[in-house]
Amino acid sequence: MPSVGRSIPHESSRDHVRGRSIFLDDITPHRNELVVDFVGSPVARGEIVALDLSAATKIPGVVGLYTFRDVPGSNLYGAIFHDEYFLAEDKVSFQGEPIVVIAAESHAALHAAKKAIHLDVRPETPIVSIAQAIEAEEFIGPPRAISRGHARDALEKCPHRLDGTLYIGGQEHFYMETQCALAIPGENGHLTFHSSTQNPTETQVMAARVLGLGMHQVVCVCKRMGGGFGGKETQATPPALMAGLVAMKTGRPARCIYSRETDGRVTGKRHPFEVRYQIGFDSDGRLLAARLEFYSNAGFSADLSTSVFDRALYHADNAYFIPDIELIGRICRTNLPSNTAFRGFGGGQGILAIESIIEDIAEFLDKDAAEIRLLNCYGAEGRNQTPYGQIIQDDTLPLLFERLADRADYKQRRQAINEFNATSQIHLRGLSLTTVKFGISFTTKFLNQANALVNVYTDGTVQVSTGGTEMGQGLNTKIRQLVADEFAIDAANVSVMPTSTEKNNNTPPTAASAGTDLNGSAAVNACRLIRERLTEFAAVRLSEDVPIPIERIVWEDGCVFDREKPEQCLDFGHLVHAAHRERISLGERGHYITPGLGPSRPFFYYTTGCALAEVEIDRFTGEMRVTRADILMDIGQSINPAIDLGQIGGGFVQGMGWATCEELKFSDEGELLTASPSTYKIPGVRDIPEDFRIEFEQDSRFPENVRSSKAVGEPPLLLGLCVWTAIKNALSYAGPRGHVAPLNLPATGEEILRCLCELEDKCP
Amino acid sequence: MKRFAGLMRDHIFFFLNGQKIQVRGREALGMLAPFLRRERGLTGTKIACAHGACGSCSILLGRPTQSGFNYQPINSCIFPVFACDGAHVITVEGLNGPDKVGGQDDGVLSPVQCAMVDCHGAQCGFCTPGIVITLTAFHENRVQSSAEDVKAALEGNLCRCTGYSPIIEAGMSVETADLRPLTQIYPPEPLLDGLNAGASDAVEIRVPEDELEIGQHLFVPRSPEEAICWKVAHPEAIVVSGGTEVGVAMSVKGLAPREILSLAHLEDWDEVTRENDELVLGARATWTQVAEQVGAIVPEFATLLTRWGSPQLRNAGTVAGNIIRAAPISDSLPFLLACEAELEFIGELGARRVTVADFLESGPTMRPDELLRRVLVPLPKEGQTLRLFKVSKRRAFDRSIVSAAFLLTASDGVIEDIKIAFGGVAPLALRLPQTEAFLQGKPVNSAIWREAATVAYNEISPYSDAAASREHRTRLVANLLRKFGAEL
Ligand SMILES: Cc1cc2nc3c(=O)[nH]c(=O)nc-3n(C[C@H](O)[C@H](O)[C@H](O)COP(=O)(O)OP(=O)(O)OC[C@H]3O[C@@H](n4cnc5c(N)ncnc54)[C@H](O)[C@@H]3O)c2cc1C
Ligand code: FES
Ligand code: FES
Repeated sequence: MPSVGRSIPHESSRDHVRGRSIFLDDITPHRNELVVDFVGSPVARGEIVALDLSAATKIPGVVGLYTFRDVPGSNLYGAIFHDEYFLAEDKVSFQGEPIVVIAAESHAALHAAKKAIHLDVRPETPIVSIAQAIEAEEFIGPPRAISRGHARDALEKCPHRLDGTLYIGGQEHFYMETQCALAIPGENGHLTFHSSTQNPTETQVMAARVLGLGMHQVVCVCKRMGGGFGGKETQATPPALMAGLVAMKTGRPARCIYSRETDGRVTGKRHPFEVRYQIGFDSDGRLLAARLEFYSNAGFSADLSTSVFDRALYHADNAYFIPDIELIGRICRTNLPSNTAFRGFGGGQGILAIESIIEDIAEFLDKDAAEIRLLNCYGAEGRNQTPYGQIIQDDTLPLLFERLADRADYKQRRQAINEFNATSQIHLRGLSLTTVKFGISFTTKFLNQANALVNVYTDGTVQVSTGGTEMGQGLNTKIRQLVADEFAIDAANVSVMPTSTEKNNNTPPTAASAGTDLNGSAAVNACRLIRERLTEFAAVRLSEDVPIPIERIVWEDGCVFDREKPEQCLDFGHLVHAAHRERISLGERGHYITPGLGPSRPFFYYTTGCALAEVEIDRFTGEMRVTRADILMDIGQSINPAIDLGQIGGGFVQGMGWATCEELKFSDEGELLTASPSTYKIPGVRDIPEDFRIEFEQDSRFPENVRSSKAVGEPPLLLGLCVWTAIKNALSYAGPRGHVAPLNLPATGEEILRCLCELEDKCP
Repeated sequence: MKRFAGLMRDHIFFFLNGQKIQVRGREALGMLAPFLRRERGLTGTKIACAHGACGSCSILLGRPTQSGFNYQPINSCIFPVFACDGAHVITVEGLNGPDKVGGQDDGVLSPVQCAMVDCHGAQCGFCTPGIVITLTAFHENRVQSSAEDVKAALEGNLCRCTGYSPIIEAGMSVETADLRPLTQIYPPEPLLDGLNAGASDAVEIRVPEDELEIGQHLFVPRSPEEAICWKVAHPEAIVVSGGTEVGVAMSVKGLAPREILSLAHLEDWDEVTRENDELVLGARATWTQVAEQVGAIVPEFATLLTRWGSPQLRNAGTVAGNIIRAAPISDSLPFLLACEAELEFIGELGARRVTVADFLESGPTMRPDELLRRVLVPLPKEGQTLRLFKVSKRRAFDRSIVSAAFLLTASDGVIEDIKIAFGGVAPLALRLPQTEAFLQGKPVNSAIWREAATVAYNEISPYSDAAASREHRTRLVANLLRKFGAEL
């Protein structure tokens, strides 16, 4: 029976539930292993005027204290631009910025050393907000723009116009396992890293650069992560560098595990955005022209901010055709930790702006927002090209939209809500049906490639290694299924091995939802090469004299046979054993590149979906419940429906967390006030939709991609934003008609109550 | 110093996955989760926050009862090792019996573990051991479970990957027929026998100062007399009751007390009873115990307690800790203030009573020789309406932004008397006497609550913090008054 399409459990689940899965901090310590931590800047911006390590050095058990002066290679590094100091030199540019790395025999010695380090930093006024950065003209890179037509002129001629500003907050990844790494020194100056990273190659490249090694001297291994969500794409690097520096200096294994607070304080998050918009539309709600100005808060360095920003622009249209459109903006440099990839990667900020605008148009025209959305969806020729030139093909979105509206009784429920809100003194309800069209591919073209190593053993079992990393998303399980099917064997006979740069080189991060697309395809390519050889071999082996024509060889249920003589079959184990005896190679590397990408086609395809949320707000406290949510997605043919459902449900809840209860608050001094789990609130079991229904289209296929599947990781997170638009919708019932709710993201109880008060004040 | 009647041990002992262990020295003074992971190699217990704020580190704490053990999930990251004395700790590794800990992988899964696999309840797997622990405790002695029950049980376990639905499904689809109760997997008799010797000894552990860390001194008394006597001799000692406050300070804020007085073995200070017209809450009663008992006595308070912390925190946190800490967000204080509850302290000179209001007024302070013994809460009378509110950012497992208590006596549509208390609007919980006075004698109608809101507005001056701004708190005070009125 084929594996693909079946809901086999996550390959690690049996170990997960027994606590047997080994996460990085669970690796048994080496006999002489050191613990590593660092002392960071107490202020967000300033100058280091004094640093005295003498007292700390004397503490028993403190093995080493290192500053930028001890960095053997380049102290400057970075994912795209080399604009970050591994260890601060004379200036500091965010609170917590690492200055001194400490290596110690015990945690007690570490703590004592931290206290004994004398550090004096002269504070300067930091730039914290986007507004301050704009004022100071602190930007990263040049202005960015995508446009079509003449938005400014067109706006003048539109029958209706709305202008406004939307503030979108950031989001902490809150992967349950904090950033961590273990470095083990080897022979010939080699270093092996175990790192909880989505990007082992990045760790390898940066370690080589900063520690002054060749990439051939560095191996980075990642067995698994306790969650990544984008946060471990580039930012797994610093703890690895710290452990690596110590391992190199001391010749001893060294491990660095961030505490939750350190992680919260120093690692980057989802980018906050500010969007200034002008939108023109007609009386039916048809979008005619738009000018959207985006500003992102990048933190102190570029990291991936340029790519994140581009994706925001690429998603500013979401699923809607806007003839004249101008998308511009700047990336702001501030004194915050460097904001980074986070599931959605800017897409969410782009989408939120237009979805918020549509809610406002609905309020303005006194129409239902769902109608306006459907009216504006990309459609037939003339209305099927994005602002960046990509043609939308085989678009199922309008269909999904109508289906979901129908299945979830949108119309009746709207009616019920109208009635409820007219009478309820205590509560307000809102309903919103939104869409997501998410572009799949790295917008940086060269990243759209992958390699895989497949080893078949003589007992008919298989090991496969790819550059893809497992962070819970089920990549390894899907690869296991794909590989099993290539050899028509049971998935139990396939092991997906820890990711290592030793086996797979120059790999892209496991990101952009494309983990399975890229690594799965590469694995399949490798399998096919082996299978080709084995097919030829079987054709000889199964024949009496002349080889059987290749086309007649069938692979099925663990066996290989001649279609015309199915009774005479070779079991896979015997086949490979025999092939090995005939000196046929049972190993292969596969390489895969995403086809068809180009300047006006940044995305291989789109994953689309719709979601509908109903919320109830307490008029007095601003507290909110999601009473029901429905999701309908087109993800092609699912390789593993249960895993995809898990991605959709989990992504949605993470998205609604961003939209509602997760709030990053910084002080004017640039200190994150919500760095601790007692102040930063991710959704708990009580916050999920009380009635939660997830479906995907069963008969949809996308034959160009591996097994006709589509990527699923990020899009559902953006669907979670429908909770936010539903809140906005609920608020629209509070004010007088035509007054839009000035709701920003996150819609915490506080934000909701603020809007309610503002709207109530407008009531006569 | 008075001589103690009982004997003294210089170590603690407890069972860990069925095996008896002794812990002495500094190790006994640390937190359980790092002890399990580093000293015992039981790395199935994960530490994701070390704050008691995620549930990843959940373990089962089995406290001896008359008939065996009562197993409850607690957060081991903020639970001191010494507080395990005389208990049975089961970690995720031990759920299938003592012979399955470590050892060769025979692939055996418990029904809860099976359900988690079958329902795809684990993605990255980091939260999973904690969830399995919670669901195991939940299913102990239970036949049926609704989604509501499962959700209530899981409030203290955060998961960043799954969005919870598969976990809830797992919780509901456990093959209960196959469940072996923990008391069958770990028959209580041998454990109880093993704990018997020395069970009634007090524990005193002294850790000398070394080159890195200060000297520490722990005392775990067996009787109130011993406790008070030690407190007199060590007035600076930090008292630890359930440890959910002190544990966080020790786990993440670097608190290393020189002297610790643990009340862990003042087991009989945990009464939750009704005496005449009063509710009596023993200092050592955990919030779980209170919640179980108080439903029949003050249902409104029981309802509030469903939003108090998490099950794990309620299983450890006690009445005394919540009051003595007197945090502005303490969920019990507005209730106690509105009901004009009294605190009973005991000390060298015997017992002393003081109203909660006076206690807070004073600082809140007590004499160095004193311990809180119990709380006496006059119960709402016939015709009185008690309403309690808690507003938090996240619905469950979150501290209050603002909490409120209203105790209204009205007849014939006129307010005879009202007591209003708020938490989260000042450094300490407080009553609003001006607003109360304004309302007295007024007719009960919606306009009056609006006016009262204005009075309250002028009576308070809240603060801004990470949870909420001053403006929000101010709005909430006004709006909770209105909400109370609207829902009457
Ligand atoms: C994540 C998290 C969430 C929380 N959520 C809530 C919440 O929702 N609502 C809420 O109200 N609280 C909450 N708390 C706070 C805390 O759990 C409670 O205040 C709890 O009741 C404290 O009790 P304890 O026994 O654990 O206190 P401990 O930590 O043992 O002690 C707290 C203080 O009280 C003193 N003390 C304890 N017992 C006595 C005694 N008998 N005599 C004199 N002094 C004594 C101690 O010396 C210490 O200063 C939360 C805490 C955490 C970590
Ligand atoms: S680790 Fe989060 S509660 Fe213990
Ligand atoms: S499975 Fe990853 S946190 Fe729950």
